[in-house]
Amino acid sequence: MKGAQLELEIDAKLENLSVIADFIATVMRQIGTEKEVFEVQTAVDEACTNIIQHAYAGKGGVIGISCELQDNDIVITITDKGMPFDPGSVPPPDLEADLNHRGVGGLGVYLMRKLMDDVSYDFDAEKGNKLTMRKMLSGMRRES
Amino acid sequence: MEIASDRTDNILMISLKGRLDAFGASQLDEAAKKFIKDDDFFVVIDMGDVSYLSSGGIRILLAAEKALKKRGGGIHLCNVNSYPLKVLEMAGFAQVLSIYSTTEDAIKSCVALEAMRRAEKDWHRLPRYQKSGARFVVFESSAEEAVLKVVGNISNVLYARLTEGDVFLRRFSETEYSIGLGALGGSVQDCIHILGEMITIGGTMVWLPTDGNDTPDFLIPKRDTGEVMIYTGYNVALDGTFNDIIVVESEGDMGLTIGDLYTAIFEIARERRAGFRGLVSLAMQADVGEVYSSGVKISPIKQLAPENREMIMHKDNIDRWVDINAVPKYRGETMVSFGIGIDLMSELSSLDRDALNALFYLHPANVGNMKMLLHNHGVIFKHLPWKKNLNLDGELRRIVNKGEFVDMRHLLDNTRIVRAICGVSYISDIVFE
Repeated sequence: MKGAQLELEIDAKLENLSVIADFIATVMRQIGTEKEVFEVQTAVDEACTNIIQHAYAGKGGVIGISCELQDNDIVITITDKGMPFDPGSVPPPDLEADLNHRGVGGLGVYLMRKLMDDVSYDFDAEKGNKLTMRKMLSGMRRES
Repeated sequence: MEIASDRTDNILMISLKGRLDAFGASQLDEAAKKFIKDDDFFVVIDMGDVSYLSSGGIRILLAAEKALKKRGGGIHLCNVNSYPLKVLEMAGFAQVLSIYSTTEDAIKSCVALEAMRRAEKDWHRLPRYQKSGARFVVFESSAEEAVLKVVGNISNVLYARLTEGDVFLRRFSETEYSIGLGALGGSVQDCIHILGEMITIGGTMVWLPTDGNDTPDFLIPKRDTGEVMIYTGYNVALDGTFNDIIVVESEGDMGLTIGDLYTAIFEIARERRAGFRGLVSLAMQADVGEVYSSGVKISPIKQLAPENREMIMHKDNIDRWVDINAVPKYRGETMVSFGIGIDLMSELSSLDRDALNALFYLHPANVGNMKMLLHNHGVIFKHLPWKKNLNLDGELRRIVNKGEFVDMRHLLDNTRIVRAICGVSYISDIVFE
């Protein structure tokens, strides 16, 4: 499946998060590794949740997801045309605070960064938000 | 996501099935508003059929926890699957939320906490006693049987007779209350020369290595992986729960001694507990009046034993072997302690004599004309504000996690406490592990 590319366009609605998760599972199966499927699903889920709730502010729109295998890395590009939302601008959550001072702001972005090897963001006035996430798949055997 | 509700012992349980993502969270939010009534305080959330959890799901769990906490309650998660648990850990919520392995454990804890909540509301109705210049308020928290599990024999310690064959390996448990003589290390050979006073309490293990540095080692495993192993030559652990929570408040500034405290506990036990067998374990959180301590300075092993073959407490040995701290210390600080006490005035025939001997060494050389024998270890923290409540286990965990560690010592009976929350277990049996 070297160079394989799989794409999904879907309405930005919370009920579609499970469809997106299934899509990621299918992609990973086609690529030939399911070892890190939960990790990748979580990162994509958190990214799409942010798009639905923040970039589109719940008003709906379209999310584009494309997955590509580059060597042993899965590279996932997520696009939307909502308001600019740079995950890099989100301050990290305080994971040590006690219950009363605990929130979940920033937790989604924190999980994305923790679970993926690289997360980068780009904004284009015409094309909108573009988030690229990369993770090396340990379950992949290098093709000769 | 499918959401169902049920009640056991009047505790609401919400069972979830499916993905707890941001969408599932919005469904749970709706359902929780419907299911959780104004008089629900502690709620069990069964996560057994939840395969996936995201930050959106955590948001709703946190919101429920905060809302219930405002009323004095909280949520208890149970049957959390491995991936959701991993997400909770990564997000730093595994320590903040109450997580139980089984539904039964979660419900049991809710029932107990609910009883405490009601008792705290009706504080003036709880039985109270006036003894040794202090007021004792008694809350019966559990009728469950309490047993002591023993490893080794105290006389091997008192006579410095331990050999490698007498050192056992025990798994550290986050929920266990125990005291003894132990060490952490890679092998028996590494540990046997540095065995020292040890305690496990509130999810921590503290020990005082006999390596000459007189500095306790304080350990809180981040997660109870069951991988921390303790080498021990003598250990006593509580198998059971607290039967009574007794809140003690002294009238004087200096408080009462631990000896006075046990005397009162024994008197109250004789009065209230028909089946009292003369043996208790006592876990407590206390504000210190003054701490007096002792501790072995040398690992009590055979090859180092005193030449005169007397006990390490013998007048010719004690200076070299035992560090007695007769200068009062730690006034006003917070102490958590665990220990055992035997009431020599009680009829002790219902307890196994050999087992009792392993616990206390009832030889006249050790007993003398004493009315009781006590063995308590205390961990001292910088003062934390006193909170009068009945959830001792929760308080001990809070102190151990939030407190600034100061010291750990074997307590002498004249150590004084000003106020305390005591978890008393009336021991029905002693078993060798």
